[in-house]
Amino acid sequence: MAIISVYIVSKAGGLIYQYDNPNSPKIEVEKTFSYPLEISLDYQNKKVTVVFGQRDGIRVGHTVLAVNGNPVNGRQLEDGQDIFEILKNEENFPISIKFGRPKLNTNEKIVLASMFHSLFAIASQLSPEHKSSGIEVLEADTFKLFCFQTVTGIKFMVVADPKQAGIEGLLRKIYEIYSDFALKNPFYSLEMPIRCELFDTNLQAALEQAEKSGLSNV
Amino acid sequence: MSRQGMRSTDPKKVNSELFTLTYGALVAQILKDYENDDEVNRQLDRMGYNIGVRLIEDYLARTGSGRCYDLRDTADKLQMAFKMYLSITPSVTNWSPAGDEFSLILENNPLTEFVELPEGHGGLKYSNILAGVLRGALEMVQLEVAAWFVQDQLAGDSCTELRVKFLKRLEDAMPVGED
Repeated sequence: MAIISVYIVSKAGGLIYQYDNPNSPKIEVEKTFSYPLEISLDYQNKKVTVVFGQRDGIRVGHTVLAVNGNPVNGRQLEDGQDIFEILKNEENFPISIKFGRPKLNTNEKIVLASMFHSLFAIASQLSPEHKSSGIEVLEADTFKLFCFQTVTGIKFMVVADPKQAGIEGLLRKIYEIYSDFALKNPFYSLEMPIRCELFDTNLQAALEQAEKSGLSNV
Repeated sequence: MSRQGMRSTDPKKVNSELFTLTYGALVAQILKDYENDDEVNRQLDRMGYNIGVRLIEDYLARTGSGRCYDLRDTADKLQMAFKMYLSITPSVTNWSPAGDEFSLILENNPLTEFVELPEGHGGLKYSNILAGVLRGALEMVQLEVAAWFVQDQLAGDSCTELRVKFLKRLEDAMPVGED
């Protein structure tokens, strides 16, 4: 699916809403290994990460998500066993390990959102032209980030597939949904995280619509 | 003013009488609670302010209009907003020589349609919520204004006049890339 996630950042740079499209492809590989493990793992940023030995869709930078179907938490399984201890012991093999691209946790998302907020400000100051906006599109080989800042200073951001068209229209649609279902909710206070069910459902409907109609035929 | 489903681009029409009566109930209740005209005026203004800071986003999302760099521009957009939300087109007049003050003349104010002020409430500014809405909405687009009623049909004037004075642009609050 072509729309990966949506972020809304308040005027102060705080993340007030974030949505990951559950339909966007998850990169996960599960494979059964025999002793000894041919992949070198390291414990980085509180995650067990592949540092070398890329094969069968398992890439450097992927983290261990589960061992024998048991989800991993930090460097431990849920029952408290250390992953590195398990992998050292030949008796535990063959063993099935699930690898995947690490998901951003809420804290990391908040950090990234405020980082983008500053980048946006830097971009507008760096401009050689007088009165430049901040970053409106940020393009990479696997995704495009679109940002729309309202006159009141709220930023709406959509991360999408580079081929997805019609994002500018979608951003304005999200602004409308925000003004309808977040702001007209009397129990929502401004600048606070948006926790409104109506907002969620309407946003998701808009995303689905955009994916259906907006995919360009390039 | 609420909407249904995904038809968010066309606002739902609502009978203006229902709106008039609801507002009347609100004012009557506040008057009962505070028993003091000035305090009621203040409460209405405060409520209006809180409505304005939210309503501005609806206006911007719906019209896609950009920032104003001149008060005349602002006056035109206010006129458009009155059309959108109250279905009336006030006339913009009485510009001050400096161009920092103008009046919105409301010939028929939907808020006061069935209203006569009772005796002893000469100080009550019945439609004061509008002044608050204006102030709140403009503050969110970094314009500090003062808004107040100078004439009111309810008080026997020939029309209702809402005076708007530009105080300053809130430069500190300007979002980046806009200043």
